[in-house]
Amino acid sequence: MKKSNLLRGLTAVCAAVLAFAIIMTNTAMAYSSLLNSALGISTGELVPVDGEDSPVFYASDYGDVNNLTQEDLDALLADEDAFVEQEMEEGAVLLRNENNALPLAADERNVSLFGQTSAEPLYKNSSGGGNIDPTRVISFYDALKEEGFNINDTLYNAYLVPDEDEGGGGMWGPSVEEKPAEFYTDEIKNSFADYNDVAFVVVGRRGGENVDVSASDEEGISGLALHKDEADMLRIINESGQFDKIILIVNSAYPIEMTYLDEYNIDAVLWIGTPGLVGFRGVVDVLTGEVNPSGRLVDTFATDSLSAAATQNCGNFNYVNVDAVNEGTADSKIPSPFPINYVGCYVVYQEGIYVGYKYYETRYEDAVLGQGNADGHAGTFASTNGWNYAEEVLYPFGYGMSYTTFEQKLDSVSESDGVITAKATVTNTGDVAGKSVVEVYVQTPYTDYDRENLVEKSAIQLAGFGKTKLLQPGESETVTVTIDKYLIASYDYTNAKGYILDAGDYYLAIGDSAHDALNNVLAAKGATGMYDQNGEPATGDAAKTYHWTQDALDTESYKLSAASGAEVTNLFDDADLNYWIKDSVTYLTRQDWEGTFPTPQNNVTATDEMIRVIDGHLYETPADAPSVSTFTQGEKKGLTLVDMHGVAYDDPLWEDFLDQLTLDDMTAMIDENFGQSPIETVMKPMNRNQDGPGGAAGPYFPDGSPQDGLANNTGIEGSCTCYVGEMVAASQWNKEMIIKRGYFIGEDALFSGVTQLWCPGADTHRTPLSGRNYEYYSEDGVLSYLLCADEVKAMQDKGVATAIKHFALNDQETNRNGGAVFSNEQAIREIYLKAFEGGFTKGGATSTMTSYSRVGLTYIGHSAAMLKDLLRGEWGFKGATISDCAMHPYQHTVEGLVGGTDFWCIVGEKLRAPELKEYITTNDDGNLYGMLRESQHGFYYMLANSNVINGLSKNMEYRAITPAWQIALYAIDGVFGVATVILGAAYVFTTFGKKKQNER
Amino acid sequence: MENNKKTLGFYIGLISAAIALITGIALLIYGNAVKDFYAIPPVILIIGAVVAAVGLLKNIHFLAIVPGVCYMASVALYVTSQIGNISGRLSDTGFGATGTTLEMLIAFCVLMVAAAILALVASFMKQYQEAA
Repeated sequence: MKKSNLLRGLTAVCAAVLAFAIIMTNTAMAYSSLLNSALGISTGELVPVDGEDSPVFYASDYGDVNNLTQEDLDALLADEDAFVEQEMEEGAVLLRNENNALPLAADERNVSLFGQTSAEPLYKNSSGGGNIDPTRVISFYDALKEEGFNINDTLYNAYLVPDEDEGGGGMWGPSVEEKPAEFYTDEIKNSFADYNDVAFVVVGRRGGENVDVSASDEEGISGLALHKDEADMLRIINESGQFDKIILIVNSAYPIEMTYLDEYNIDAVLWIGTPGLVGFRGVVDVLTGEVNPSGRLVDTFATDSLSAAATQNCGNFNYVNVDAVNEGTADSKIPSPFPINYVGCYVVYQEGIYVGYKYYETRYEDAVLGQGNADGHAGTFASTNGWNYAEEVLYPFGYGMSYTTFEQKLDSVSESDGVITAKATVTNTGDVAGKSVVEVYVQTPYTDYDRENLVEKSAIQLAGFGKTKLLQPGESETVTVTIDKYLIASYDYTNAKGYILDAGDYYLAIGDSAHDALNNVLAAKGATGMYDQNGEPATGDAAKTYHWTQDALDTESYKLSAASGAEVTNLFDDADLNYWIKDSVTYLTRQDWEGTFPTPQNNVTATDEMIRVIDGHLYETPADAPSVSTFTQGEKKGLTLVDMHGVAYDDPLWEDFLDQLTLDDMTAMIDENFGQSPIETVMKPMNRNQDGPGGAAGPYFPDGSPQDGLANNTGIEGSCTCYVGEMVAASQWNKEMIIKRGYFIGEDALFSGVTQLWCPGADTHRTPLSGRNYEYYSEDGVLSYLLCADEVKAMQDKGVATAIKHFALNDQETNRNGGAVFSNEQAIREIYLKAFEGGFTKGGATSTMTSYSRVGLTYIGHSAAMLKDLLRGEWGFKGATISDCAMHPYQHTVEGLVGGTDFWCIVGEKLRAPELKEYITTNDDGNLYGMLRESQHGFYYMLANSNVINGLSKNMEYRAITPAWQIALYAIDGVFGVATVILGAAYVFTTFGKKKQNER
Repeated sequence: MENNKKTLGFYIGLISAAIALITGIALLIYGNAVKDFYAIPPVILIIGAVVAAVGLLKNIHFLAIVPGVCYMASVALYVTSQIGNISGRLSDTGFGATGTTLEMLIAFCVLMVAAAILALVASFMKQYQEAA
């Protein structure tokens, strides 16, 4: 080979590698915060000067929080495993138990497991940490084996063989995965005989982040209905005649339809939701009777999963003039890799407050009392002759069976300073020990004032609850339930523009479910014709009620927020479609069930003004905006992050602290990639953030310390404990257990170095189909309010910056990215914001993750009404808000800051800091700078009162760290750069120099 | 040009340029079809192919350095533009997934790398027989 050819080739190779390396280096640097976070690398560290202690602000009960060891972790995990098992024991809900099929007798141990889900259990749904650590997970099979069951392995192993055409499950798979009838070969059928004490049939439903359960799937039926392969399986089991008992295990976060229980001779049904890492042990404990079930439903199980008033308007709705909306909005023209319509979709909550049981039970009362056309045909899905509760509802909200019987007696009800105290004595009248839930409901009057002013009233609403300890047979306990009357007030959005308590008759009732309590109220009102969910006549028990009368309408008691003292008034008028298009929505009212039952609202045409607001590019620098130079920046005042711990939010010291920060310091914090970088100016260390709410999604010991065990493991194995699904946690109806859940998640945060955790979920199970119901507590706002408050407080006490998500109105996954949610303010406040309110005002959350939705037409991340007026104003929130993943064009950096978004989640390479900095400096926008400064106030307040300050002291040195991967990349660039230049020069000299020489 | 007899290097370079040109055009069409349009990688590919063609046809030796650089740059730019897609498609969450399937993504990368390797091999070789 000629020398010149060789040099040309080598130059080309080096230049090509150099081009490749430079581009990859630039990309890696753009993702550096994400890479550093994933690799557990900090770009700076705070080192104590000699002799300084490492202070502990938020302690672990398992070791020195600044020097946690593998032994400490082992002790924690042992306790957490036991806790998850207990969560499942108390969260499982026994729905049917014919002839006391459960618990199983000691000699019923030869069993067959049916259903694909028996072999591929749904420990959790597709999102929300923790993760399933394969070294710790316990399957249903494992748990049965541990308890000495003999399992039909011929059947079980057959399920384990993957189908060639299997969809893969998870997020992208089908909702229902079951084997067809041909799967049950003669060999399999012959195996039944030796394992025929019990047929456990496990059915599951998949859904998840970004995916709702389909209202009409490939079989043309609801994803929650019984599907052909499932029906075939049940028929084969039943027709085999082999099994003494058939037990249905519902491994689904979604309330499936179960109208077939008699047809297939199913003896018992146990709902288990998603059991987390080791919860199947708890399931088996319930099946064997080692534990008596005490869970109660947190959602109504309807006969037809499409029958709820809310379900008539869920899913995909697009503006009639969607093309005009796209044309009129800048975001839709921005090239985006996502095939998503951010601007053209919406959903109308026509049902108002009648969500879940509030629909079914209120319509039931009106049907019994013969009012409001409640027994008409509109909205009938399972009824045969006009709307009938027993035909429409299978299991009511609050329902759950036990292996024993309890008697509950309402002892007394008193009121003082707006707090109702109800005392009830519970006696175990059966033969085995168990726990019982005292469910306290209230009926408030539905008056002429309400009818005139469009205030709707649920016939029954949960107000509080308590759970007994384990009561031995014959043992009693008096349970005291306190109720803030604020929780039973109604929001009047048309006249009083605030919370009201009507004049009229109030009833408090205890009951074994919402329906049972309502029947007790109806009995107290002297009504007749009541019946239970099975259609059997019911008389109700007036002795389980308490009645009082309020003389006059009260519009003043809650005029000022108890949390902040701010005036409570309408904030979401423009979330009502009627605000934009007159008389476009008729909300469901109990004045006329027949005439107002929701119908799919697919006729909305966006007006020009609506399109302008959807566009969302609404901020302009005010003409009178101050100059940025009027603010103090970068002034050294000697205040570090740790100095601000415990400093009141309105303490002037915060102004001094903020004066130290520069614009670069501030904008650097608005980009988040599972954490944020260190800031030397105020000695802020790197903070890590992680996803919840089933636990923390990250690994223990992310810094690789200690070096043994789970060290430096960023994969699934070694991830933090996965607890039972949040709705299973809610189904315990046990405040002590929810506090413990918060406690253990807080410990996990200490062991995994997580400061901000995106949990708990506090949206509403608006429909049974909502894909992310498993991350949220319940269909009921008050139950969720009470649980969220307790869980958040326990986490905050451990130093977790608890980011309740997804604030707010993320009640379906279809069109979650930018879909407009239209509702009236009564429903928004009483149903959809209530759980968040508990977490913020009672739990003291210092953070929240906002949703992708729009409240009305405004993206919630831009909504000052939501994030400033309500959250920080009315509710007195102090802390920082984070967006959901900031990857979409409709999430505007500037409008986000103006609206109250403090930082942007998982920005990847799409950094927002340069954009914000450029806007502020180019426009010399002191108005925006002031907002950024206040935003940083909340951010640093959140951190100063979090576990990130553990180990920080006043006297520390900041050491910048250049990660090794960056050095390596730069070295590669340098080597190939130099090589390219040298070889290129040699080639030029060899080729052209020689040529010139020859010419000479 | 004193002698028009083409060498193996010429043909390797030509094949490389053809692959790059076709891949570039295919990438433009596919990206547009699946609404995952990012013009820079295919445009650089096409530029590389054109430079290669000029170098080959006009027998400008030093231009043989350029195509390999272009093709490798295209691979890097294309892969980095697809990080969100790769991440989304390999995870349960689907965050960042775009219309480009993993199969097509891999196919485009293979074609671009093949073009680059051939171009770099050709850069070591003469393109025409020299005159006797």
